[in-house]
Amino acid sequence: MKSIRVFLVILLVAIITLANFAAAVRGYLGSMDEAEKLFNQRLLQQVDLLNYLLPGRYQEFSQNSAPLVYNAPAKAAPGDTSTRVADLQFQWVSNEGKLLMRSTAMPDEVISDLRSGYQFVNFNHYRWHVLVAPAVNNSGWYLLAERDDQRYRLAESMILQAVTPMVIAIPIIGFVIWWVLGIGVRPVARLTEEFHAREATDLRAIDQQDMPAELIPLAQSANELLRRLGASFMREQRFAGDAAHELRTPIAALNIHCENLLHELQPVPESAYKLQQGIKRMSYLVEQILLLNKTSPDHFMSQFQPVNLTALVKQVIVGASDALSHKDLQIEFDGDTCWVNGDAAALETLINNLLGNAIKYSSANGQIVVHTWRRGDQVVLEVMDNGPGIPADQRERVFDRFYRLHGDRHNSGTPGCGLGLSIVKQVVDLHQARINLTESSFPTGLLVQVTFSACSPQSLSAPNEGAKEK
Amino acid sequence: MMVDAILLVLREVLEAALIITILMVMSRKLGFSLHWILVALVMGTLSSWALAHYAYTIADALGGTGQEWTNALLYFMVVLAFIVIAAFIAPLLFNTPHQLRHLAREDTPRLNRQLLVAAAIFAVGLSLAREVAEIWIYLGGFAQQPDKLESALTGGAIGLGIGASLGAITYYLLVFISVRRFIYLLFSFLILLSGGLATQIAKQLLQIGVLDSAAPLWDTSRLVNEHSWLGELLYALIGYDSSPSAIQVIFYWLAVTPLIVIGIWQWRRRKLAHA
Repeated sequence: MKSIRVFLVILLVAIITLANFAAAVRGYLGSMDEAEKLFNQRLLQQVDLLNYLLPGRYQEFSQNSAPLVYNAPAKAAPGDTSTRVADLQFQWVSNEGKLLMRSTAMPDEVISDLRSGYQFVNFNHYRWHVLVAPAVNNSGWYLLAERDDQRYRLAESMILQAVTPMVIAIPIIGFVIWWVLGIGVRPVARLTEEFHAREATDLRAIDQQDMPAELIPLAQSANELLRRLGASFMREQRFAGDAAHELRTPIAALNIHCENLLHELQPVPESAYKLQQGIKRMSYLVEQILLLNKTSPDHFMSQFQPVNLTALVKQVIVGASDALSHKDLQIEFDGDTCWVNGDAAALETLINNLLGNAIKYSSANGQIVVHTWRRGDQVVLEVMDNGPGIPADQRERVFDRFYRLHGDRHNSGTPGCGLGLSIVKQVVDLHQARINLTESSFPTGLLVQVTFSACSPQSLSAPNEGAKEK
Repeated sequence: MMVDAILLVLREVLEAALIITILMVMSRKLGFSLHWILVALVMGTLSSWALAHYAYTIADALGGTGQEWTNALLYFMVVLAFIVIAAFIAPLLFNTPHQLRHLAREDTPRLNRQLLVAAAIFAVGLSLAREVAEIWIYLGGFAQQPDKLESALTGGAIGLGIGASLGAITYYLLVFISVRRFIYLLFSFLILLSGGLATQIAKQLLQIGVLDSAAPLWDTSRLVNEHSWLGELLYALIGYDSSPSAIQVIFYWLAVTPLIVIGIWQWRRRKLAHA
């Protein structure tokens, strides 16, 4: 079942249609029988009328050589094909079978056997419904004929007045059911909207007030799940905090001891330098893992605020000046002053990682270009280097955790662990931005473009000062 | 008049609704998109209109036998489409319930989805072309008779409503049965429908004298009259004929045998694989 509403509408309309139309057919057949009886009753009444008028003149008519032709006044205008009138004709026949009188449309011969009852007879190119009835006082027979097709259509036209509205009503019923079910499933839609609109970190219980009885068990289960999830997040957060503290301290101590060892040992053995490199790599890896954990959507607790991205980029560039001068790299920064709605710390991590990568992969005396552009309602951050770049078929994979291009064989001397771009992607996703890796405009190198939604003017009117400062 | 229109439209709609319903459920159970049904409906409606529009030209063609040849050809192509569908479905007949439960999510290598969908489009499109063309012709005949038109249209709408409603109810009844049961049901329906359509091919060819007519092999009209409600329903479901000739029975078995052979072959294959 893909949609409860569609399922219910189709099934209800089908059942109503079936029941309604079956009733209509049954009603139609029953009504046609009743109409038949009514028409027959009318023919019998005509017999009474003829009995009132004709038997007294039986002797007079039986002596005539030719039958009298009765010209009935027209009941309908010529050419009128309406079904309101059924053509009624009659013959008066003597006991000996001589035709005494007939109406205009009747033939000069007696149309049927003089046998009392209803019969079907064909004449004048039509099928006629005929009543043969004996006249009173032994004064012959009356043969009353009604065109069967006209009689049938007359009956049907009356019955159709009752049946046709049923057919017309079905689409209206379908629409009403659709509308009513829409109202009925609105609480489900509201509940869905509430879940959808919630921040990843909003684990408050769902309000069950005014909730339909059918949804309360679902809400209770969801609340129980949220409670367990919240407890689990708290445990994980505590663990992450504790782990950060517990790991950072011994690594820092190891680092100091290693530095001391290098000073004390003369000459310094090669393995001592390798030990120092290993400690640095471990320290970097732990910092990156903690950063990844900190910026994951589940644990991202801070509220978004307007952030001056341009100022943030400048601040990161200043912070990286040592690394830049160490490799004699030229850096160029240009662009508009751009504001985005986001978390300043996470954005700083993003810029840091992008710039760090550019520095790491650029060869000595290389060039790095950083831009922040405002394009309509979008802000684009560009970081371009003239390093080796990333082959097109690897550009999606570099966002995978611990994935290192060519095993990270670069001569930057900076330790890498394959988490930098995963963190960047996580921050990008967190800000609902887009990231694109392409070739730089240098002969070689990489251009990273991150596209954010620009801050709306309303939110800029009262920007967070703390973020501004950054 | 109205009852005649109901019966005629219902007879045509019921058969088309059954084919559409069962193939839509097949799509759903096997995890296909249902978009193909739109293509089949458009194809069927346009073809039916063309068949109705050129009905007299078609009828006059081939020395006045064009209509029968066209019908026979359409029936034959639908039977072929059913055989193709049955050939793809047959391997699933003897799968374990566990394998079938995962069918919708897995791309079973035995199942060439595109061919199966194409066969389904042809089966629905060609069935609609034949059935709806008769409705067009019937209702078109009343366009010049306004006094009868309302009755014919009302009857047509009731027939359409009953047929479509039965189709919708059948759809949901079939949707909620297990995949395993449905595959058996589908295969059985394909056998019955193919057999019924094959007898119709023989009937068309008998009408134009291509095949020699002979005395009916049996007569079950006392049991179930062809023109009763039950007879009409059975005609739509399995092409019921109360007094079939020997040639109709031969045609029936010609259509049904390949399907039975496919089924038995799959059963033996599965048995050997388990041995």
